[in-house]
Amino acid sequence: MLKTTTTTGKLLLGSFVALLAMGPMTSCKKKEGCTDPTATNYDPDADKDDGSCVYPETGTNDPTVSIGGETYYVVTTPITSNKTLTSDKKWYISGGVFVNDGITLTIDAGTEVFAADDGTTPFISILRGGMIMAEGTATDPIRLTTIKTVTGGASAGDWGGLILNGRATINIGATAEGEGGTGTYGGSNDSDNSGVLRYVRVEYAGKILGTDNELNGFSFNAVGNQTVLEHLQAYRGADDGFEFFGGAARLKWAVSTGNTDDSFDWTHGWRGRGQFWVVHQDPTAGDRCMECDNWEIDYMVTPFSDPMVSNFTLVNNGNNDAVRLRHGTRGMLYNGLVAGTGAGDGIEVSDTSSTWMDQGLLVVKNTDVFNFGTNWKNCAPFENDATNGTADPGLNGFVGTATGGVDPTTLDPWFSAGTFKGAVDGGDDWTTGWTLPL
Amino acid sequence: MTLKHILTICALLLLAPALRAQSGTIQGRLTEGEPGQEQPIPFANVLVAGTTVGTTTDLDGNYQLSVEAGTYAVVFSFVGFGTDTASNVVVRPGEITRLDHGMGSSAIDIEEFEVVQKVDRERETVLLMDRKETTALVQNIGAQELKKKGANDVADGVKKVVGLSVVGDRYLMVRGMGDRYNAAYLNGLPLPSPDPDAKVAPLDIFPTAIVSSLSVNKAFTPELYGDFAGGAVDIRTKETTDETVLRVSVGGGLNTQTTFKDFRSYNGGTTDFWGFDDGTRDLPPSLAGRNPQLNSEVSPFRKNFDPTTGTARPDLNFGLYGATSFRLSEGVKLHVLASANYRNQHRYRNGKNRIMNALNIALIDYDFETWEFSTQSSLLGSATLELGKRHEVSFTSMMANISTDQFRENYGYHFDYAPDLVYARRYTFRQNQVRVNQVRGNHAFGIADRLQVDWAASMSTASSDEPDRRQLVYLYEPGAPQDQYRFNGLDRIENQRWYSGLDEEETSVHAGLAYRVLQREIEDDMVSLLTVRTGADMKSKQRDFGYDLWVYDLSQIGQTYPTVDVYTPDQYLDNENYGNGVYDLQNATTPDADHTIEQDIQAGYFAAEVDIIPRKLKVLGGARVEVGQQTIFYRKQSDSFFQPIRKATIDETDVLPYASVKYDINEKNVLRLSGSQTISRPGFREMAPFEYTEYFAGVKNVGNPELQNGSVTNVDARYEVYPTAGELIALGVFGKALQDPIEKVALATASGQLQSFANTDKGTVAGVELEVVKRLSFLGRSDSSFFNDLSIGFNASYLHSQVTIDSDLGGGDAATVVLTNRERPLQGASPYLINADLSWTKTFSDRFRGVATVAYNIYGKRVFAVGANGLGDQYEMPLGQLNLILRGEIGERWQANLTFRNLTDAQYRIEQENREGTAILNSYRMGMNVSFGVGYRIL
Repeated sequence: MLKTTTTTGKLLLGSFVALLAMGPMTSCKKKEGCTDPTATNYDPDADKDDGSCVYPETGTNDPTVSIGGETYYVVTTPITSNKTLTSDKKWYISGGVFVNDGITLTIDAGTEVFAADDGTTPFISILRGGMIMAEGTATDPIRLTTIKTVTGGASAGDWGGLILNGRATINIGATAEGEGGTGTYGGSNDSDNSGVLRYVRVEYAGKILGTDNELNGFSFNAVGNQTVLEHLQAYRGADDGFEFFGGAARLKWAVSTGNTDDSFDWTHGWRGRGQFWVVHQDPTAGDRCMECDNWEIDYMVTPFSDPMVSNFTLVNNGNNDAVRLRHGTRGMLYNGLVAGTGAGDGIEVSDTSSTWMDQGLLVVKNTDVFNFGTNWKNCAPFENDATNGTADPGLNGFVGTATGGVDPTTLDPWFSAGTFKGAVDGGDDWTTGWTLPL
Repeated sequence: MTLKHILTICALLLLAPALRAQSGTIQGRLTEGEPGQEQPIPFANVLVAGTTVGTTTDLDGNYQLSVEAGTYAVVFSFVGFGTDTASNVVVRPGEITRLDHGMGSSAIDIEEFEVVQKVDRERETVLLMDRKETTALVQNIGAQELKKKGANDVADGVKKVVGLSVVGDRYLMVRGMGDRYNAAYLNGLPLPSPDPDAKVAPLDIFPTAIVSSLSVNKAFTPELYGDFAGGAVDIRTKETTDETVLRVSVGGGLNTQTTFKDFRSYNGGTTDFWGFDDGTRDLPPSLAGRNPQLNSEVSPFRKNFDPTTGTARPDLNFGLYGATSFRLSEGVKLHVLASANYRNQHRYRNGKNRIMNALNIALIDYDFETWEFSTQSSLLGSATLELGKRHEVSFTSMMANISTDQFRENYGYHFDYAPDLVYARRYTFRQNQVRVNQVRGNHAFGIADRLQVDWAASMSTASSDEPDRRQLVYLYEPGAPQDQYRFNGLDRIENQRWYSGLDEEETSVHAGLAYRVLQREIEDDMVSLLTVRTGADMKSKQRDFGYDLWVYDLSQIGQTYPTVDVYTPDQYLDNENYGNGVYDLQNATTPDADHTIEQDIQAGYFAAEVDIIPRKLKVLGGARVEVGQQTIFYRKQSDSFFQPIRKATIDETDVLPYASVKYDINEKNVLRLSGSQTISRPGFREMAPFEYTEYFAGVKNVGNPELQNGSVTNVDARYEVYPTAGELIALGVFGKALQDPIEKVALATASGQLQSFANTDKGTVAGVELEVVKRLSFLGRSDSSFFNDLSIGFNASYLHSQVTIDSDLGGGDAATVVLTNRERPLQGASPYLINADLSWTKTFSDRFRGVATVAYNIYGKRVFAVGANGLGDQYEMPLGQLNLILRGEIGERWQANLTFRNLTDAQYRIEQENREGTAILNSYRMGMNVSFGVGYRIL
């Protein structure tokens, strides 16, 4: 009996020693390799860096993919040295392409960039301090779209869109995180410059990023007023067409076509300018033509959203209001034409914004709101202003103007002169050639 | 003059060396009269000859003494009866010697011993003895007390321990310290967690039916993993005994707001009753992989959105327990034990759900209703091989599974859709499972067990699955009948199917020894003067998480179906409409959907226990060295698959010192002091900079790869009085200083709310704890049998906690921290916690014994979520629960119980203190539960 116990004891003592030895054994497994995830030969199993990392060269040897016999050049991310996307190649993006602080991304006129259909959410994000120089022309616009326009089945929400992050002021904190980790934005320089966008068309944007973010066609996050934004189209996106998150960006000649959420959206203290804005909603989808907030969490944060927008034509085919001014936004809207189909309200003002309108801090003037019946307004200062009305000027789509506008150059020299209501004069249709119809 | 009963109950102490005691217990009952007609002798003196150890018997004639191991003579004396002496009473370390005595019998010699039963660690009195003897600051709660207080699972059970609470039925709070500061063990070995957001396994997964006792260690000792500052809960599974037992139990229950009423559900799987999905909810095989392509004609999904309505059946539970032992040869015994349990319940709730803004205006104001069917099942098997009295090897295998199947409706105002209202339905099936296999051994060597060795190894897995959670959202005009609702086609994410799975594997190994370096023989007993303990631990775990998200693009469906019947949505979401493009499906899974986490910890410890005054003053000191590495492999949602996978690692070696003093002032009074330094590691997902939501539509979280381990300095003092066996009065104070604690911070963001984590400046926690376990016999006259049968348990803690968030956090290259309050209590910390119970134990006859217990517990208002952007912090308001538990034992074999839980049905409420006023964000009642059960012992 005693013997048995002793033997067993020895056996067990032996296994105890073996177990003790397992500690050091596990610490011996450290593997050497490249531990930098930005390197091309990154080894996730490596615990110790052996200096073998190899980094991708940007700009010189872009990787390629072949789709339908065509070669596409992959824009690798992040972009850490100045880079030009030339129109002689077809470009391809997968996941988020970030342009770093101090770096310029140039996109030549006529260039096409295709977003991958590979389970990622492709987008282009210009980080604070980075620049984009995308200067297309009316005949050679720059096109940012989905690869599914080539492979078939393109639809709203196929990719992310274009995001500009600037250092202008926002009101929800000094700096903020963009939707879905698309970059930090905000600062104190309203004259910040993120570059130039001219004749740029973003198609089929609005893809979901993370569990509850959708990306807009164009997101202007705290973009400063030295940035040039002219002749832009957001075409059939699944979220908003153009959204301003604070800042002081100025946008002239913009077309928001068939976007299923809001066509133009501002919030978080946008204090920029807008002129010649067109909204053409899909007859079956689309939320508001303009959704205008200070901030839903706190209507009183400053600086208030307080932009000036002149010459807008909103063809409201969706189910909701054409214009919603709410949550404390201020601002001045002139020379608008707002066409309805019977559903939704024309100009809806609510929350503290109603108070601002009563006090003259929120103004809608020289604007015609038609085909809404009695729902064309809900705010006395707007309804009772003699420059507003419900006359139908008889638009051809979104083309056409009405008389009785105010010359916006008297409000701010940035504006182009004119005395008509509406965005597109039939005699000078600036949308032809480079935009896509609904 | 015959010896009436001499039973000796002996045992080997299992578990950690910390619990190893050199003393044992003599316990018994003093009576007079003829056999069969004995009457107890109260207030008689019981003395251990040659020592100062003595006590008096209680009203039932019971007594209990604790003495160092050795052989003694016990002297009984009572006026009118003279003096009796029982000699040769052998007391062994950690064992209970039963010594019943009938006065008037002559001197007794006990010559023979038989080990009939191991120490029953399910009993309160035994656990209190353990607690008194141990050098650690441990609190125990045994199966007996859990039953008495009506706890069904461990989450319920730990709430009865002073200073402990459970937030949201999931997260353990110990002394105001949340999940990251706590740890869960099973039989002394670390337990994996199936909860992606929690380090400590959700304790409601463990039914009390498999529990022998719960032990809560609130002060660090070097045997514990160092990632700890609140409490370590050790769940000890049912222990093997010499007895052969076979017991069955069956029971049922009712909920006053659910049972026999309409119960909404949907068509699920055929094995839902058992808490397992039969594959019905699996991701369709054609959608496997990370970029699946859809067939444009045939939807891969089942049509299973249509709700069903039935009647809520009563709750059901049943269990089977069996144990036996075999004598293999002289001194070699094999004990085996098996247990299987199942429990289900149906619950209906309704209430309010609101989201406010800083001006205290509701952005969302929903009524909600939920119908939830949940199950809890477990299997436990255990085998112990006893090789003589000094060697023991055990094997334990356990599986616990819980499932919840919830049908939820939200309806009402949403600012973005107003004037239309929202009507949303979500079906969530979640299954959490833990499987543990352990092998453990204890060995003693040398004279009087001078060297004691214990070792253990475990391989465990945990999983959490949420297959095919689905949701549809409708919009309607106020007052519209439900067949005039329309789909919400604006936001694709609202109409979705979600599949997620988490798997964790953990291997751990422990080996330790305790050796009496210096010892002295005092009164025939070997007393330690210096004992050293040393050992090593290793833990290695890997966790994999992944999800798939599919959304319905219903932006065009309104053209075909301007209005829909919300009770038959499947007719619209069929193959034909899919093929015709009436609606579309999109994959919304982003590259962050998968991540893998590895954690490796290796540790060694050394501690010395010096008896400055033997049997009176002990000083303990030591340290643990821990080499810890944790790594997460992940992608951000904005990443490309052209990029290599990302990685964040924390690699740290920590030395964690510890010291404590135990002063046995006398037999009944013990003073303890303890101090230690521990660490807190970041949660796995907290260090990875991708966004995730803890629950659907919850606040977004983004990890922070800059996080470092925090450190905590802990001090504890406790004074304990043990008036008689089974009684306790204890008063404790504690303080903790947190350096670089990891706290939640809110960041400014473009949409919704975004939280992250940061090492902030500092935090402090301090508190007082009081415990009383006492019979109430002193209230009545000595012949008042009513008061003699009453006992109370009471514990309360008061706590002050404060954390300060640095003002220089955030900004610059990162988003600004927009917390409303930079100084606040720790999240989840209640300023007070109170538990009270009153029990009446009555022996009505030889055949019927009953216990009635009234138990009440309440927590003070605690931070539920941290406010940002001018919104106040959210507080869970105090919630009290009153339970009445009636248990009866009828004859030898039958047992019955009747339990009334939540008698007052208090309202659960979350309030938010905003700049412009206070709002109720969430409120509901749970209803009263009545349950009943019977047990029958077959063998």
